[in-house]
Amino acid sequence: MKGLIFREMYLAKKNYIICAFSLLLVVILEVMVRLSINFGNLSKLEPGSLNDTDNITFYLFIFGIAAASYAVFLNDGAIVMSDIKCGWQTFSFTIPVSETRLVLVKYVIKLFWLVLIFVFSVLNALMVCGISGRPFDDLLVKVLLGIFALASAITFVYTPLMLKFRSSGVVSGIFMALFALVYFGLMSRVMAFLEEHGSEDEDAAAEALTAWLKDIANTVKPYVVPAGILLVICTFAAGFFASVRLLKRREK
Amino acid sequence: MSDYENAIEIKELTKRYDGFTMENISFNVRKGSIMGFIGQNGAGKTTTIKSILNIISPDEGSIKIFGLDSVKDELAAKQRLSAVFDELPVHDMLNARHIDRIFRDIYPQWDSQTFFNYTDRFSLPQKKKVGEFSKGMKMKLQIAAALSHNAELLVMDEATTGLDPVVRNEVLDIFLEYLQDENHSILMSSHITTDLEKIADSVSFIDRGRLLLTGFKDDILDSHRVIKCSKSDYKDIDSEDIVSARLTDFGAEVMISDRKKCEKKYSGAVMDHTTLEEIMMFYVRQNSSNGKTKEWS
Repeated sequence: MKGLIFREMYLAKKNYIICAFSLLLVVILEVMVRLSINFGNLSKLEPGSLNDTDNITFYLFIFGIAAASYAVFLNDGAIVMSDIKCGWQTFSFTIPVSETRLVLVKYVIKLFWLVLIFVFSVLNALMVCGISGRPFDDLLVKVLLGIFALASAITFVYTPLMLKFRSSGVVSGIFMALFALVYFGLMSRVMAFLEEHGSEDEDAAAEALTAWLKDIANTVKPYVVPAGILLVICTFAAGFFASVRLLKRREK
Repeated sequence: MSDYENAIEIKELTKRYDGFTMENISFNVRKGSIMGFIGQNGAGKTTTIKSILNIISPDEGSIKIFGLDSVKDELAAKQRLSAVFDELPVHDMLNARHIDRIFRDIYPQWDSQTFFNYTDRFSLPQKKKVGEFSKGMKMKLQIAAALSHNAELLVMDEATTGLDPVVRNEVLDIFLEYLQDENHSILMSSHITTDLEKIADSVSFIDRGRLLLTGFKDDILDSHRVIKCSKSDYKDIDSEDIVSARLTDFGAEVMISDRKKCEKKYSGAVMDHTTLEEIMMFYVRQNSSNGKTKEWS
C-alpha cells in the first residue's frame, strides 16, 4: 500500500506545490492588506468605505483560502484521467493488489489533503481574526466546516463518476448541472418570495428577505454540523464502495 | 508452491463481442518454455491475454495459472506473473527511481538491486522522466520492472511491436536469459513471427477468434511444407491435404500440413521448407474463404 501512496504523492506533487505557492501568496497579500487597513493608505478611507473594505477582505481571505479544498477533487480527477490514458488503470489489474486496496489508497490520500487544507484554513482564519481583532466565533467555524464538508462530498463522489464516465468533461458537466439546478432553484424561491411581498417598497421587501433568510439560517443552524458530518461520512462510504465495485466490474 | 507442469492452462475460452466472437480457445503454456501467440491484428490475441490477466471476464471457459484459478485465486496468481504491454503503463513524470519505490511495496519479492542492474545494463537513466524516454527505452524499463520481482511467468502483449531490430534482438536475448531458469515461462503475443521463430518453443496461432494451430514450433515447421507446382499438378493434390493454395500466373504454391504423408503420396513433388509467417498467411487465407475454397491469389 505504501508504494501506491508514494505513487499518488509523486503524481500530485506538482499540483500541490503550485497550490501551496498560491496560498502563500494569498496569505502574504492578506497580511499586507490588513496592515494597510490598520496603518497604511487604506486606513485613510472614509469610515463607511473602510468598514466595507474591512468586511470584504476579512471574509475573502478566510473563505478564499478554505476554498482551496476544492483543488483536491480537481487533482484527483486529473490523476484518474491520466491513469486511464497512460494504461496504469489496466496495468493495476495485473498487480497483486486488490481493488479495495487500490481505492483505499485514493481515499486515504484525498482525506489527507482535505484535512491538511482544512487545518491550514483554520490556522489562516485564526491569524486573520487575530490581526483584525475579530472573534473566531461559532459561525465562522461552522462556515469553514460547511466548505470542508461540501469539498469532501464532491471529492468523494468524483472518483466513482470518473471511473464510470472516464471523462473529466462529462463529470464536470454533471457537477455544473447540479450547481445550476441548486442555484436556479434558490433564485426562483427568492424571486417568488419577493413577488409575494410586493416590489413597490424595495426596502421593505429587502428587509423581509433578510429576515426570512435569517429565519432559515436559524432553523438550519443546529443541523449544520451533524448534517456536514453525515454528508462527509455518507459520500465517503458511497464513493468508496462505488469505486471498488466499478473497478471490480471487468470490461464486458 | 505447486509442482504444476503448466504455467498456463486455458480451456474452452469463449468471449463474445458485438461483431466478434472468440470461441473455444484451449492451449497450455508449459513451465520453462516460451510460447508465441501469433495472429493478425484483431484475431483475438489481446482478448485472450486480457482474459488470462483477468482484465476482462470471459463468457465461458477456465484459465489456470500454475494450477491457480485466474479469477478465484487472482492475487496469488498475480504474485507469480508479470504483464508487459506494448506501452509503458506509467505516468510520464515518473522516473526509474520512482518506479523502484512504487513497486518495492507492491511486489513482496521486488529486488531493487536486480532492477537497477537491468537499468544500468540497458543504459537507462535513473532520474530522467520516462516521458523523455524513447519507445525502446520505455519498453526496456517495462521489461526491467517485469523481471525484478522474481516472476515465474511473463505475459506479454505485443511487447516487441514498434521496436527497432537492434532493440528487439536485445530484448529477445534477455528473454532467453530469463528462460535459463527452468521454472520461468513466457507467453508472448506478436504478429512479428520472425521474433517467435527465434525464441519460441511452442506456438499457438489464432485467427478471427478461432485457434487454428497449437504445438511445438519445431514440429509445426517440420510438418508444414510448401509445394511449388504447375496448375495441372496442383489439381492432382487432394483437397484434404491442402491448408490453402496460392494460384499465380506461373503456377501454384500449396501449403500442406502433413509432410510425411504428402512425401509418400506425392513422391515427385518439390517440398520447400516454410516459415511461421508463411504458415500464418496460408492459414489466414484458408480461414477467410469460409471453407468454400482453399484457393487464393
